[in-house]
Amino acid sequence: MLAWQTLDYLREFAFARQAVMAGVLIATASAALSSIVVLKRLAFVGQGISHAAFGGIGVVAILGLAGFAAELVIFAFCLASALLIAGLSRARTREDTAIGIVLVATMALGFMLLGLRQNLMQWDVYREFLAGSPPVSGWDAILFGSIMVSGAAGVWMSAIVAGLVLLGLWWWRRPLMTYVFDEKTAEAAGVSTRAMRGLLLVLLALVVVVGMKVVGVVLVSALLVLPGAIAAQLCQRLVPTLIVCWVAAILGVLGGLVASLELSVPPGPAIVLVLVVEFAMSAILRRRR
Amino acid sequence: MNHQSEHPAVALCDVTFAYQPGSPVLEKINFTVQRGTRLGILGPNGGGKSTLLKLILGLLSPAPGKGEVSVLGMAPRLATRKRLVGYLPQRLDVEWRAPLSVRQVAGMTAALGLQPWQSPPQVVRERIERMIELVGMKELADRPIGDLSGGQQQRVFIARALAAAPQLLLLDEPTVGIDQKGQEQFASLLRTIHAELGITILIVSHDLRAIAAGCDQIAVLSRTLHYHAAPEGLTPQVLAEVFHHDIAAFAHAQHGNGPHHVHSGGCSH
Repeated sequence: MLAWQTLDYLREFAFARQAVMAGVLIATASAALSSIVVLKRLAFVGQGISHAAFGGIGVVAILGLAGFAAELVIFAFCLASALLIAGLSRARTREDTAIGIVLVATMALGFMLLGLRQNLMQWDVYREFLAGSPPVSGWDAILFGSIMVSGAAGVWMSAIVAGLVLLGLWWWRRPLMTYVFDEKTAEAAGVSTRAMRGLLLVLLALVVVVGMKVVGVVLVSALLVLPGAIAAQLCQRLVPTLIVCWVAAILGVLGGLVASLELSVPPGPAIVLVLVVEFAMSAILRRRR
Repeated sequence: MNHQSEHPAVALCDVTFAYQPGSPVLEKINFTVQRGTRLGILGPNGGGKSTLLKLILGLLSPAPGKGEVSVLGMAPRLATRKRLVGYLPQRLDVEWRAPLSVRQVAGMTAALGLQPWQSPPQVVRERIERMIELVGMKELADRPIGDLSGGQQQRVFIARALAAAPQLLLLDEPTVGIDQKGQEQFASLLRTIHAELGITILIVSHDLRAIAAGCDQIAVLSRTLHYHAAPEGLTPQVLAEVFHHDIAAFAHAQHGNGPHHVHSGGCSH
């Protein structure tokens, strides 16, 4: 019977409860950013940043890093690639080209370092160097997420990121709103558009670092794009937009987790598909009006 | 009156600006806009209009020795930071899909100077409402900005610029994407604002209609400042020639026509 199994899991296993908590927190953080991502056309930038995480994972794997240090390296990779995209786009390269280049470069680096780690394993010196460091998760976990193994640390991490994202958006809400609505007026009113764009990139990188645990490197931009796209179909006002974003993201994450537990399918793709179905429904609803 | 009011609204003194060395976009621009003037700056595309706007907003500065710009007697960047300059963007530069109401848009810049934990004081909120009323958008104040027509959106942007209590209002190509009726209403709105608030208004456009209706002074900009006088002096020949970049001789012959509020050579030292 559907959903009963999920309740049993939640009652019996800490990992399931932690997955739900981490998922709700990450959904909150990404939903808060989602409208801006859609309005500022940052969807593809988000894609670039999330794939950059792969390069960070490669570095983490080859150095045998764990815990906070590992998260920091991955965050640094995401942020550096965001800044690199911004820097390249300002010069002679168009933004989509810049993203295309950074995305494949960091992904290739990640794959190469993971392969190298495999090869280095035949040397005793390297095995000693790695001693005590955690095993590298499988390809599918990196690419498509592994929220079921997020653990208590994952919940804390998600809580901190969600807190930072919400605080950042609230703190800079006025300049940010002006910047999102029209950059020229923001500039003319003394708002630094570079600072605002930088702020958005930092927040995006933060969400990507925790979001990729839920849906993986490949699919994390779904969490950033779909809630905003769904809200844009249904709302024209600020508060309803934020609420719809949040509800859509939560429904997506919880629905995906339930589907994953009931049907024994991987949670990442299940979450993304629920969000896509929500989007389709919102588009149909809009047509009906 | 505060002591600043003796300074002109805008003064450009011998300003030359080039993005690339050797090919100036603006050359030896001298002009002074006295307070309370409504000046239209007309020019062809690529004539340096947007560069001039950026200089006045302090987003660009002349290279050392290439002239000086002052706004309300201070550096343009400072006037901008103090939100003494209201800016009306081109309609097409605005993300009208944003889920914001007319009131939220109108109040956007007035609250920028506040700390994050402060909410806008009563004075500011009242001023926002007054400006929404002044531009005739009171009935639509709760509507989403995306539902409005181009002309209505522009009125909201005027209210937004005015809500920050500026002393100078800059309008960037205000007629782009606005129909004939909207333009006429817009011109009469500008007259109302000028009469009620007495602030300096500067319109930059390639469209004569944008300027003729709402301005009492006109200048023509095409790399250099070619002409400035009351609108009546602007004949079809002048325009035809300016838009062919071949006006210099004619413009010099026209200097000194009638009482100007726009003076050439406005360096004040």
